[in-house]
Amino acid sequence: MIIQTTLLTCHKGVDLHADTAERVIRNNLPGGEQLLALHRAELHTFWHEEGAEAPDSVERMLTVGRFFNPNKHRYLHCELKNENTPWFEAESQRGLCLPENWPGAVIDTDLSAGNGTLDKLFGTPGGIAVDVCAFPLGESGPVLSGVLWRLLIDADNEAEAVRIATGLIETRDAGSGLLVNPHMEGWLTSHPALREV
Amino acid sequence: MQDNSFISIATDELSDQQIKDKLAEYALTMTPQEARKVEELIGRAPTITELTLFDTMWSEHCSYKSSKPILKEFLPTDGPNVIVGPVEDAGIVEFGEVDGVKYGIIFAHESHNHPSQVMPVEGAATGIGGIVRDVYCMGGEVIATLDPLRFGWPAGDGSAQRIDIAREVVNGIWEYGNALGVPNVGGDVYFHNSYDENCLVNVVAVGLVPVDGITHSRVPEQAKDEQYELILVGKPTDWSGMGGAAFASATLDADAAKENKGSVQVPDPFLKRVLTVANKKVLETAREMNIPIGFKDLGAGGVSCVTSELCDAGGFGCDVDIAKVHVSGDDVPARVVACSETQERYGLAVPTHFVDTVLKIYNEEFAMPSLYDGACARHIGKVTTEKMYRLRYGDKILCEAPIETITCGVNYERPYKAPEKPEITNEKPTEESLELLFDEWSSLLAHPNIASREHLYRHYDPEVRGSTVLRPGEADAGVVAPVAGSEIGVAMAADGNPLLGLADPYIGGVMAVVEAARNVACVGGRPAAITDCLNFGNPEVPEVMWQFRESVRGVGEACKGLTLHADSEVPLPVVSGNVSLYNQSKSGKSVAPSPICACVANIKDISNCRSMHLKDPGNRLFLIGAPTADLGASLYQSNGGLAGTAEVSQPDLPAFRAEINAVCSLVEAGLVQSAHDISDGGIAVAITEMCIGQTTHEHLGANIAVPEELSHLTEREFLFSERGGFIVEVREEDLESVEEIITGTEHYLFGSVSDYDAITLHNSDGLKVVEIDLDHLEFCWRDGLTDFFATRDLPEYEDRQLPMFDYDDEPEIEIPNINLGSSAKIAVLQMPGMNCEDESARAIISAGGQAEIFRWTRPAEELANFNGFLVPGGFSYQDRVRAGAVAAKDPLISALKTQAEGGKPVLGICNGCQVLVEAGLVPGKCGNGKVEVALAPNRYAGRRGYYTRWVVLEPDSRSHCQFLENLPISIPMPIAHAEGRFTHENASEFAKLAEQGFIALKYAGCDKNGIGNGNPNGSMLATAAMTNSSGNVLAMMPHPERASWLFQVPEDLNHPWAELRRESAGDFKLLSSAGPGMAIVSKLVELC
Repeated sequence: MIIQTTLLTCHKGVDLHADTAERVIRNNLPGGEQLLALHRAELHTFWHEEGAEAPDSVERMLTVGRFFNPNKHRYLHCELKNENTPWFEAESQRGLCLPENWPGAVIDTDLSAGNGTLDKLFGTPGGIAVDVCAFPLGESGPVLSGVLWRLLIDADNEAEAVRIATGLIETRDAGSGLLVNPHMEGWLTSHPALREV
Repeated sequence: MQDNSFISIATDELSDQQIKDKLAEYALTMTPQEARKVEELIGRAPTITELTLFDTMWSEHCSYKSSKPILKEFLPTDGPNVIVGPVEDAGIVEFGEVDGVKYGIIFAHESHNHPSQVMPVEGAATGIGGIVRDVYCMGGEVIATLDPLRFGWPAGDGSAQRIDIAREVVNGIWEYGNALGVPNVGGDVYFHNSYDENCLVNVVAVGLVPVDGITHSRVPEQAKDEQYELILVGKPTDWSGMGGAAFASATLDADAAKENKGSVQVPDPFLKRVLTVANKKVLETAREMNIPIGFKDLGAGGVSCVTSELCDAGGFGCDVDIAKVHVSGDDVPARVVACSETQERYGLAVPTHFVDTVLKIYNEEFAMPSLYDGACARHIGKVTTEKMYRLRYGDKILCEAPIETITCGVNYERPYKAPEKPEITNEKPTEESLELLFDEWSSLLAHPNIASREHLYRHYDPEVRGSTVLRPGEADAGVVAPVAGSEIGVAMAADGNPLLGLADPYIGGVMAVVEAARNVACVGGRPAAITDCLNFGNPEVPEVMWQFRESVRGVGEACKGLTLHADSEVPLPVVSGNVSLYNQSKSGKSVAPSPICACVANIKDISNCRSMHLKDPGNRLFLIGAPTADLGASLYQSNGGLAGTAEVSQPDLPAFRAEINAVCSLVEAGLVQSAHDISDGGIAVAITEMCIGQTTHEHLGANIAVPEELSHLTEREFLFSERGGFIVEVREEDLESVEEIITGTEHYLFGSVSDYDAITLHNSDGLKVVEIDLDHLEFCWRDGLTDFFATRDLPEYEDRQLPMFDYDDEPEIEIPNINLGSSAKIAVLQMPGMNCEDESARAIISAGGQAEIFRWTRPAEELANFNGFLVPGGFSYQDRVRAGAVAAKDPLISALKTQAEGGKPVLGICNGCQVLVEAGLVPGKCGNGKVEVALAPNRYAGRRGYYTRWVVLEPDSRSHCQFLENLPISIPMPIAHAEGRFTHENASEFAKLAEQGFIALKYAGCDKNGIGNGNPNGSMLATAAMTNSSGNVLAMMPHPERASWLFQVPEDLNHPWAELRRESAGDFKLLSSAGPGMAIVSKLVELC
C-alpha cells in the first residue's frame, strides 16, 4: 500500500497563465468559442510506502514557503491510498485516466465551498468540466510538480465536451491544442469519458 | 456590495479610541490625531475616501514625515551636473553629448521590504516594477538595474524558511526584470540575523534620456492657457496593493501575514513591457508634435495620489471622476478605486486635442484591451486652474479639498537618543598560530557574506539591450554603454555594510558611499551622483531614530568629503532616494542600521574598463590605501577571529578621495590591467577573487608581502582589515607612469602576479608566512553559497566544472564583415512581451541590412514586403502556459510560416526560437505545422529556472542549414533562458533528426550523446539550434545579437575571442568592431 500526497494551490487573485490561455484559445483555436472558462492550479505530489517515514520534502511542501504561501494561494492537501504504482508513474502518461478517487481524501484545506473535491478549488462548474493534470516528463526529484487545468466546456453532452477539450489540450500542430506539448509533458485526466477518446 | 466610501466620520464627536476603532475597521493606520488634523484642514468631517487618501499620503512611505528634516539637514542634493534633483520620481545628472545630443542619466532607488517578506516573489517583482516606472516616467529608458538584498541568516533553526524567502525574492527579481527586458548588472547580498524577520529588498534603476526629451511629473504650465485632461492607462484597478503604503510604514507582524495579502501588488511584467513600448510611442509623438505633457507612474495612493501630485506640482487643481476609471470586477468600492496601488499604470496630463491620439496609441496600436481583461487607456478627468482637488463618482463627491493639503504631508520631529555604547575591549585576534591562517582564510572565503554570488546572479539577465560591457562577477561595478557606437559609458554599484551600521551607524553611512564610489572607480567611473535607500527600524524608538540620524549624517559627510570632481569642493550630490522605516517585527527585532547607497559614474572610454581578474604573470600589484590595525566590525571578527569588541577607525575621507581619484585616473590612462577594491574580508579576499576569476578563467597566482612600512601590523591585521582601498595590477613597464599618478596617496608596491596556482604571503622581513593553493580557495569561495541555494541534484564540486578548451590548433579569429551594404529589408517581429527587438535591429543594420520593427497589430500580409525575418528574444506573453506557445498561435506567425515556405530566411533567437518550434516551422520535417519537438524547462544539475552564461557553439557538420555556410567552427555566445532544452518524446526520433541534418548548432564541451557541462540546459544531443527541411530557417537559443560587437565579449572567457577582447583594451575602434555573433546576423542579411 502506498500513500500519494498531493498539494494543489490556486491563486487567490487573477491567474495570468489561465487568463492568457483562455483568451488565446477562444480567439485562435478551433472549438475555442465553446470554452466557457479555464482554471489552473499548481500541483505538487509525492508518494511513500504506508508505515514508512515520509521524505523530509513532505514537510517543506506542506508548510508555508517554497510551494505554498497562504497570502496568495488557496490550497487543498489530499491523500490517496492504494495498492497501485503512483498515478504519475504510469508507463504511458498520455490521455490516460487518473485514479477514480484522485486526488484522494482532503486532509487540509482553507476552502469550504463546493461539493466535489476539485470543486472546492475551482468553484461549482458551469458547463461540463474536464480536468487535465499535466506534468513534465522524465523528472526524478522527490516532489513532482505540474499543473491541473480545468476546462469548462459549453457542450450538449459529455462526449462532445471531451472531444472539444481534447482538441484544446494537446499541441500536436500549430493550429490546435495549447495546454500540453506532448514532447515534454505527460497528461492525465480525471474524466472517465476522455479515456475513450 | 455596500460601498462605504461616501460615509463621513466626524472626528470631533469621537474619542481617540473610537476614532482608532473606526480607522481599524477600514484598515487605516493613521493616528486619531492625524484623523482630527484632516478634519481641521478640510474644514468638515472627512469621508472614508478622504481618510483613506490622507492615510496613504501621510504614511511614512509617501510623506517621509519622520525623516524629511534630517535628510534636509545632512544631504547635499545639488551640483553643477544635476539636471533634476530629488523633487520628482527620479533624479537626473549629466551624462555627455553624442552627435550633438545631450544625454542625462536617470537614477532612482526604492525598497520593497515588507511585501517581500510576506510574498517574496510578488514583493520583489513589484519592487522592480515600481522603480522602473520612476525612470520611465521621466521620459527615459531603463538601461540597468541593481539589487541590494539583505536576508536572514541561512543556517540554524528556521533557516529553511529564510532560504525560501531569499530564493523566492531572487525568482521574483528575474521573473519580472528579465521579462521586462532590463539588464541587471549588479547589487550585493548580505546575510545577517537581524534580517531574519525582515528581509530588505532594495532596487536601483538607471535610465538614459536625451536632455531635451525629459518629461516631468507635473502638469505643464501651458495648462494655464489651454485645457489639459487627465488620462489613466494600464491595468484595470482592483483591490491589489490596497493600503500598500500604510503597510510599508508599519511594523511587520508575522502572525498577521494572512491579513497583509491585499497590501502586496500583483506583478505583470508582460503588460508592463507592452506599456513601456507604447509609452515610448506616446512620448515620441508628443515630442514630434511639440506638445508638453505631464507623466507620472501610479505607486502608493493610486489614482488619487497621481492626479493630486501631477496637478499640484504644476500649480493646478483637478476634477477626477472615479466612475470613469477602468476597474476589474464590480466589487471594487470607490475608495479602493481611488487609492489602490494596482500595478502597471501611469497617469498623463495632455491637452484636450491630444487625448484621442493618446487613447488610440494605447488602445488600438498596442491593442491593450486584447491583452488583459479591462486594460486600456481612459480619459478620467480634467486639470483645473482652481487649486482644488475634487474626486467624485459621477455626481457624488468623494473628496473635495485644497490640493496642497493633500500633497503637503505632515512632519514629525522624532526624539533621538544614542544607545549605550558597548565597552570597547580592542582585543587582538584570538589565534596567533600561523598554521591556522590557512583555515581562517579558507573559512572566510566560504562565509555566506563573501562566497561567490554566482548561483544567484546567474538567474538575472545582464545583457538584454545589448549594451552591457561588464556583468555581475566580472568587476566591482556593472558597466553599460547606453549610446550605441559611442565610447562613453556608465558605471554603477551599490553597497552598504550592516556590521558597520551596527558598530557605528555614522561610519556605516560614510562607508556605504565610499564603498560604492570605490567600486565604480575600479572600472574608471568618475562618481557623478549617489542615491540612497535608508532601511531602519521603528522611528518612534529614540535609539532607532538616532541610528537613522547618524547614518544620514554619515552619508552626507561622505558626499561632501569625496566631492564631485577631484579638484572641486562641490559635494557628490544625492539626487534621489528612499526611506524605509518600521523594519521591525512585533517581537521587537529591528534590522541592523542599513543605509544602502548606489553610485553612478561617468566613464570616458569603455575600452579602458577591465575585469577584476589578474591578466598576466609578471605584472605588478599595488596596494593603494593602507590597511589599519583595527578589525572591528569586520567579517574576520564576526567569523570568530576576534573576541570581545573592537574599535572601528574613523574614516579618512581626504585620503579616500585621493585614492578614488587616483584609481580613476589610472584606468583612464589605460594603465590598469585589473583592479579590485578591498572591502569585506580585506586584502585576503580581494586578492583571492582577483586570482580565481570567472568559472571559465584559468587561475593566476600572486606573491604578496606585508610592506616594510606596515610592519607594525600583524599578518592577520594586514590580511583581514577592511579599511583598505584598492589592489591594482599594472604592467612592469608602466610602473613609472603609475607612480606619477598615485603620488598623492598612501600606496605600496606589494606583490606580483605569478603563473603558480597559489597565493604566497611574505612578512615584512621577507619570510614566507603562508602559501595557499588556489584550487582549495576556489572550492571554498565558489561553493559557500551554492550549498544553501542549490537544488538537491547538485553534483560533487569536481563534477560540475565548466569545460576548458584548448584552442592552440584553431585558426585565427576572422572578424566578420559588417556594414557591407545590402538592399535586404528584414522585419524584426515584435510580438507582445518580446524585448530584444531594438538590439536585434541594430545588429542587422551593422551587418549591412535594413531593419524594421514589425508590430503584431500590423496586417500580417505586409510581411510579404520583406526579404527576411528575425523573431527576437524576450518573453512573448510572459512565457505563459509554455515559452512561445501563445505567440505561436498568432495569425502573424502563420503568415510568417507562409513566407518561410517561400524560401525567405528566418532567424529565431531565444524566445523567437521557442515560437518557431511551437509553431512547427522548425524542424518542420512532417509539414502541416506539426509540432515535432519541444523546448522544455532547463535541466541543469543543481539549479532550476532561468540561467544565463556564455557558451561555446559548434556547427553540426551534418546540417543542411543555409546559415552555417562558412561559419567559424567555434562561436562563443551568451544564453539567457529558462526553457531552452530541446527535447522529443522519443529520443531515437530526435537522433534521426540529427542524422537528417536538422540540428544546426550544438553546445561544445559535451560527449557524442550531448552529455557534459558545456550543455547549459540538458538539451538532447547538446542541441543549441535547429533548422527546417530547406535550411532557410534557423531557430537558436543563444543570442547572436548579444555577441555582435567585441565589447560584449567577456574578457575572462576561455576562448580566443576573449583574447581579442583583452587586446582591445584602450582601443575603442577595435572594441567596437564585430563580435562572434555577427557571423550569424550577417548570414541572415546575406541570405536575403
